[in-house]
Amino acid sequence: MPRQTHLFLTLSRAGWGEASFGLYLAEQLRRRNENVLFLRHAGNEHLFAGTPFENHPIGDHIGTLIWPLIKECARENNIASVVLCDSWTTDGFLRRCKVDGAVLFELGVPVIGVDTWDNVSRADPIDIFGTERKAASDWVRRVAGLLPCPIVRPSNRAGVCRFLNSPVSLAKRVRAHVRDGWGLRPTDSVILFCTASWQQTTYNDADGDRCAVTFPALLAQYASELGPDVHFVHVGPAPLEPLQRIGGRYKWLPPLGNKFDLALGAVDLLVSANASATTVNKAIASQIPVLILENSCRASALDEAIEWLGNRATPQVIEWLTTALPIFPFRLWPIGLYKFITPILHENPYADAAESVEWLDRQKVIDRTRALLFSVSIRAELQQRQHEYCCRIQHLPTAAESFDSLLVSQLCAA
Amino acid sequence: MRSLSVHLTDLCNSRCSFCVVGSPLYVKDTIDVDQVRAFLLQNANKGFDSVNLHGGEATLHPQFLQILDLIMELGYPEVHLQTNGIRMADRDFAHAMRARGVTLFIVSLHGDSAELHDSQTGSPGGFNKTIAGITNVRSLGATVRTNTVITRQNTERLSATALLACNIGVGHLNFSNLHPVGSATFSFDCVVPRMTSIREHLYPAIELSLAEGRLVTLEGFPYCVVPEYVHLHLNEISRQIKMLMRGNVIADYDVFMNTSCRVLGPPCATCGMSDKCGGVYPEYSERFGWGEFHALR
Repeated sequence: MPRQTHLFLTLSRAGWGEASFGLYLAEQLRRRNENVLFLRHAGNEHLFAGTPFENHPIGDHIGTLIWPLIKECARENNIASVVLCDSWTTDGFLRRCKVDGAVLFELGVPVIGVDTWDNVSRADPIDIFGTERKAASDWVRRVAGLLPCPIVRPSNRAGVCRFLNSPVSLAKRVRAHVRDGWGLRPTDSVILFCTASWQQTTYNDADGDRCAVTFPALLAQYASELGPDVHFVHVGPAPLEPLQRIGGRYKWLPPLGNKFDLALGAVDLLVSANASATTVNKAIASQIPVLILENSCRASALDEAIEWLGNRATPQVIEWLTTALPIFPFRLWPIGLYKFITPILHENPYADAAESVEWLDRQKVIDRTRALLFSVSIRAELQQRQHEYCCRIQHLPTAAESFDSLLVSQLCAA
Repeated sequence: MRSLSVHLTDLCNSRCSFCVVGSPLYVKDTIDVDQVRAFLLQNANKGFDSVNLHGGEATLHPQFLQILDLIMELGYPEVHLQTNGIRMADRDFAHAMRARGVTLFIVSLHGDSAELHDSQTGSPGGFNKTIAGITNVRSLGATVRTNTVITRQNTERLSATALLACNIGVGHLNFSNLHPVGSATFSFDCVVPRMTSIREHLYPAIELSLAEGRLVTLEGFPYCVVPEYVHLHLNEISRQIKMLMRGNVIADYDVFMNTSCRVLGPPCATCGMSDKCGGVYPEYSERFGWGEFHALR
């Protein structure tokens, strides 16, 4: 049987999640002897190092040349399909390049797009930095959607597929070695908090930039309340300066590449400010308790925020708010996406596999963190829900199986 | 000097907090011993002066002695062994290694006391065995070189460590700059000393060792950190090391280290020695920047 070649586009600058899913699907196709060729953003090089896939870096400056390049790759490799590793971000990239993505259909092969947040068919607007914007161009709705679960709700809809990362499980002595390296005593606990480069950058948006800058200060305040035996390991592109206030209990590690699993497997709790992070997916698969920090409060002035908080208001949060207002809701700090993601989490067992807490509810953040660190029964209950979630996902088609179904339906439609 | 260098196993009976190959992070060995045999066969009679075995802890490999036999059969002139020295405390085992042609034992010594050494190597009792092992192989006529990785824990005890090594007959002392990869990826904050804090302790240790008539070498230090002792740097010695590391053959280890594991920064642009020096470990400059480094000549 001749080997088919599929062209995968993973074009966002900081698209760790989309590249991860692209590689996940590509590996499944490779195992059955199909070729995958990637056009990837130049910034994703580290994710492709050591993978068996031919990949070509694309810089932000490529502009309209992206289309002839795609066309040439398609022609030279006689491709069987084009896969957008995320439909929405591919659309964004092409728009920035001044290319109408509808040209992809001119290639005459099925175009399949990963619909990470199950939003393409809904065409809902997207809330970014508190402002609603059009989510995607109309052409994206013509793309057959591959719906990875998590974070999409598990169901028998066409395109739904499982995307559960391999669980991390460290041998006791390896776990102990990593924790010793962090300077922990056997009785200490450790929280992992991860940031991506898009969370530690500037956006040329005053509200977004303020959200990015002020968040760590409140995080540091919460961390300082957790007691001398709780350590905070942060993996990200740069240290979060306000966390230095907890002294040696704060440890910053630059991105760990293939050693990330060792860090994840060595911690007691993952705290995340990104509800759909791949790290959350991995922690759930590994039955490591997860606490997601999210904010539903929109406030321009202090009295609005205090009214929203009601009896949950505390002097510490009020003081912080004076530096942080106006604030907007977020499920992906600091971008927002609160309203955008809400429908996906509705009746979605994913929401049970990780705990969420309102960011401004100081007492609740501290109490839930403590409970997830120290209460054997609360940890066990969450781990049981994570286990049940993973079992449910296991019954879904693989990414390659759903991909095949979409390919067939596209070919039939053609 | 041309030598073959073989990473024989990922596993180790120490758990050094700064292990460069991350042995304590391995639960299974990834090394294919047939690949090791093939490497030794392919390179026999090609002018290599020695075979250097390392790991992990090479002496733990279940076929360690057979590998030594093979090296002898293939006619390599010398065998050098990088080891934590623990198994050398067993005199019969030490004898077996000597009988199979191990001429140089390169022994990790990271402190002058059991408390200091063992707390870093995670091997209670290891220090006493290492010292006993050095004594054993010395009495069997072997040459011993110690390797001391400089850490935050042992920086202030470098002279005491050097003195101990001299007192037990070590002829060659090597001091290594900690390469913050492997286990040190996680323990960085706890183990990596600032470059500026090293010199005041390293120089007296070097001077003491030289005064005792010992050979001293330095490994992995940016030249500007030890400008008065650049001539002791291993990069100044003409050598070619061909290495087998987890299935990959590195044609020239020193070139590999300079081009793949170190980086040059702004101060290096006008440095006359940057070609040989190779620069700074990027994991270090990423954390602390370039303020501690400067151009030479």
